[in-house]
Amino acid sequence: MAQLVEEWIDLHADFLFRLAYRFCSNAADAEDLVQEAFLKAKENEDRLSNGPDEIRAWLVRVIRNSWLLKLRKDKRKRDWDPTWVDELAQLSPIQRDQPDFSDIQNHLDKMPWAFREPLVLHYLAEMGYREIAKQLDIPMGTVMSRIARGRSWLRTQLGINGSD
Amino acid sequence: MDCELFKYLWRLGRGENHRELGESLISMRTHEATCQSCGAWVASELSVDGFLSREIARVNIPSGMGDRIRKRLEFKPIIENPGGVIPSRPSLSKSRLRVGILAASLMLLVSGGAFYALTRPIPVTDDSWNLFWDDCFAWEVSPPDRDRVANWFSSMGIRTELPQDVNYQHLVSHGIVVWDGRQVPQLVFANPDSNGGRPAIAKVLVLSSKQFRLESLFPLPGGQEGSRTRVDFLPESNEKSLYLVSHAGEKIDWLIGSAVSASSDSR
Repeated sequence: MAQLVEEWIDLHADFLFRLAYRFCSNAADAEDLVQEAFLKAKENEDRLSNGPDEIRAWLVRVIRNSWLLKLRKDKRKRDWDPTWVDELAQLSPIQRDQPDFSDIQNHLDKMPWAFREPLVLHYLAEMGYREIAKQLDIPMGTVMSRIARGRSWLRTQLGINGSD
Repeated sequence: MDCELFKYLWRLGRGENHRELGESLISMRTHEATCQSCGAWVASELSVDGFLSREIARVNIPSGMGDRIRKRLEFKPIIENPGGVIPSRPSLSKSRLRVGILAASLMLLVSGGAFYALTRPIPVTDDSWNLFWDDCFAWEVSPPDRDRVANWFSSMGIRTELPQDVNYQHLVSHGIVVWDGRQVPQLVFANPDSNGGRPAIAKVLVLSSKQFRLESLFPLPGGQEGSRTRVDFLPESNEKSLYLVSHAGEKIDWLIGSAVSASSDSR
C-alpha cells in the first residue's frame, strides 16, 4: 500500500469514524463510510498531494457525500422542518431538568439533518463558519443561524444552564 | 463597546476564531477584561462549547479498524478495469425486460416473414399453365362424372354425397362456396339447347345434415320480385343431404332427365 495512504489512515481514521458515527448513528455504517473514503483516497492518491488539512477536508467531503448518497437511497433523510425549534416550548419542565450526558447521539438523532450536519462539522471537525458554508454550499449566515439554533436546542436538551 | 454589541461580535467571531474581526477584536478584549458580566458570559460560552466538543467527539473507536481498512485497501478485484468505470450489472427486471423485448421482436420478425412468404405475389410457372391446359382439355374431351367430382371434393377435404340423378354431361363447373361459415360443394350445370335458345343454368348446393339443421330451410323462400330465378330442391334429397337448386327456367327436366321438377311441389 502506498505510504501516503498509510499516513492518512494513521492521521485521520479515528476522526473520520467519529464524524461518520455522528452522521449515521451506527458503528458498522460508520466504519463502512470510513473504508470507502480511504478506498477513494487510494484511487485518487496521485491527485491528492496537498497538506494534511486539505486531505482531511477532502476526506470529510467524501464521507459526507457518501452518507448523503446512502440517505437518498434509504430514503431515511429527515425532511427540513422549520417548526422543529418550537419543540422547545412543548417540552415539559421535567424533561428540561433531566440532563442526559450519557449519550449525546440520542439528541443528535432527533435533530434535523440541516442543523445536525453544520453542528457536527463545527464541534467535531472544528471547521469555521466559512469553511462549513463552502463545504455545504450554503450562505455563511445560514450556517451561523443553524449552528446557533442547534446549539441552543442541544443545551436545553442536555439541561446546560446559561444564556445564549 | 456595550455588552450587546460585544456578545453579538463574539458570537459572530466564534465560528471564525475571531480571525476577521480586526480592530474590533482589541475593543472586545478590552471589554471582556473590564466587564465582569461579559467575562463570565464568555467563560460560560467557552465552557459550553468545550463540553459540546468533547461530548460530540466522545465516540468509541472500534478496535482493529485501522487494520480492517488496510486489509480492504490491499484487496484487488480479480477483474481489472483500467477505465475506472465499473459497468453496473443490469437488474433482474431489466434483464427480463430485454429478453422479453428480444423474444417479441424475434416473433414479430418470424411471423412477418412467414406472412409475407405466404401472401407475396408469385410468378405463374409453366407447370401451372400445363395443369390449366390439361384440365381444360380433359373437360373438353370428357366432362367429369360424379365419381371424379366426388374425388375432387374429397381431395379438398370435403366429404359429401353428391346427387346421383342429375346429368353430369351438363356440368360446367364445380367448386366450394361458403354458407353461414361452412364450406359447401357447389355444382353448376348448363344446357345451351334448352329454354328457347337461351342457355339454361342451374346451380346445385349440397347441404349436409352434418353441417346444417336441414329442417330450418323449409319452407323455401319465393323468388325475388323482378327476377326469374327460382329455388327448388332435387327430388332425391333426403334427411342427410339436401340438394338445393337455383335456376332461371320453368323446368329443370334437362338436368334430371325425365324426372318431374320438384319446384312446384315445394312452394
